[in-house]
Amino acid sequence: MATLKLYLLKLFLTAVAFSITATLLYPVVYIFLTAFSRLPTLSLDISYFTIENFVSVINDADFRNSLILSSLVSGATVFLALLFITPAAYAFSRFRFRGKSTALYSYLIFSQVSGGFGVASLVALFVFLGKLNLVSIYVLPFLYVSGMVPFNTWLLKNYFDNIPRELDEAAFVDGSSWWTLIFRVILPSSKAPILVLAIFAFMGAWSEFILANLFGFRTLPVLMYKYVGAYTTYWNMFAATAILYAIPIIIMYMTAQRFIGEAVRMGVKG
Amino acid sequence: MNEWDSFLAYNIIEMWLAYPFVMTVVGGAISGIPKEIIEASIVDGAGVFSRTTKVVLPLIMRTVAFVAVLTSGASLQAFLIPFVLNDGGPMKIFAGKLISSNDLLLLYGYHRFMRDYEWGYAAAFYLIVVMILSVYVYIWFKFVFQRGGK
Repeated sequence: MATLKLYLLKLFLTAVAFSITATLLYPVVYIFLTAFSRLPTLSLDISYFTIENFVSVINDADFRNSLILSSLVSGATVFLALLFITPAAYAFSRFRFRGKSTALYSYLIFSQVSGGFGVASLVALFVFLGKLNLVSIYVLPFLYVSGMVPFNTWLLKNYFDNIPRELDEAAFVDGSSWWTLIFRVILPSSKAPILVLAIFAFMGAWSEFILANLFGFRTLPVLMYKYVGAYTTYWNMFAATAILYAIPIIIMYMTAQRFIGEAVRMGVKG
Repeated sequence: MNEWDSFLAYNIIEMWLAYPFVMTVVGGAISGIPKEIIEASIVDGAGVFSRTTKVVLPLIMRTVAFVAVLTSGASLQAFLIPFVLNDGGPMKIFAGKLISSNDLLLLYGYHRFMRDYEWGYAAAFYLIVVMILSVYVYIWFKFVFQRGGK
């Protein structure tokens, strides 16, 4: 009797887990199968299998322009994020200065409501940049980086806190300069969180939609949005574009999964 | 399409987006429960149901509250999903304005700004939104951050 009950329970739990996983993966499977379909509708039908969608998407000039634009913006964002956030995090971790805790707490708060405050500041940003005639592709990476500063500074600061201060002191005792300390001691020992920071910055810029759409830059997400909003939507093309768009992020996650886990664990523990 | 249909669709998609985060954090909390506690409850004769509700749930309650606050905060700031999905749903007249029937908090101000060009109205509205979000931040700071639920 007891065994039967246990068996039924296990069956039930497995069914629940299976249905939850299926629900979660359903949209992904759907878009994946649609990308290989010859029909321009959303379908789970695999009898019209083809890879022509991918070929025609890659041959599409619009797609290639958007791809280049997105790559340039994301690359610039990664560079700027590393340039601005790493020294700031090190300073927050090691030095004492006026307004340090105020700055840290406001960063903390902004990292919680960045989405809401970000959209709220769009009005001011749009008017400001429009009136000053500053709307160009070059401002986009700066805007993205400014949105990433709060969260990533905390992440990196917590990691630097865990690097013992004695390391710095030992380096100074051995007669190293600031330059040597930063580039030979601190940065090599914090490769993992810096890699994670670069990946987060890349993913943030790669998938940012609201600002790019507002200013009318055709990065990849905006291009896909335009596909859906068009008069007739070729869903198989859309799905193929979506998969090509997701590939860099998937590859990054898979290669850096170990580092992401480590950095987030060390960063969150504090 | 009915306005409530799109509202339901937003909720489902937000849940779908929040699911991995909740799963990871709560799953981590559950696997962090010492095995001895579970075994002791089995020895004491607790069934599956009472073991779940009386032993496991109280132990992970703090994590669940933490996740609930964070997820509701993220959903309070939902903008992208309604905007991308159907731009706030079908139009209707409300309080003398032509608005989308599912203008969520942030989307309402965005539409006043982009559709009606009422920039001052949108700015004033967003000031109120900032106040509402400050209440959320206060709750988060008080009950999640300071209690060390991080």
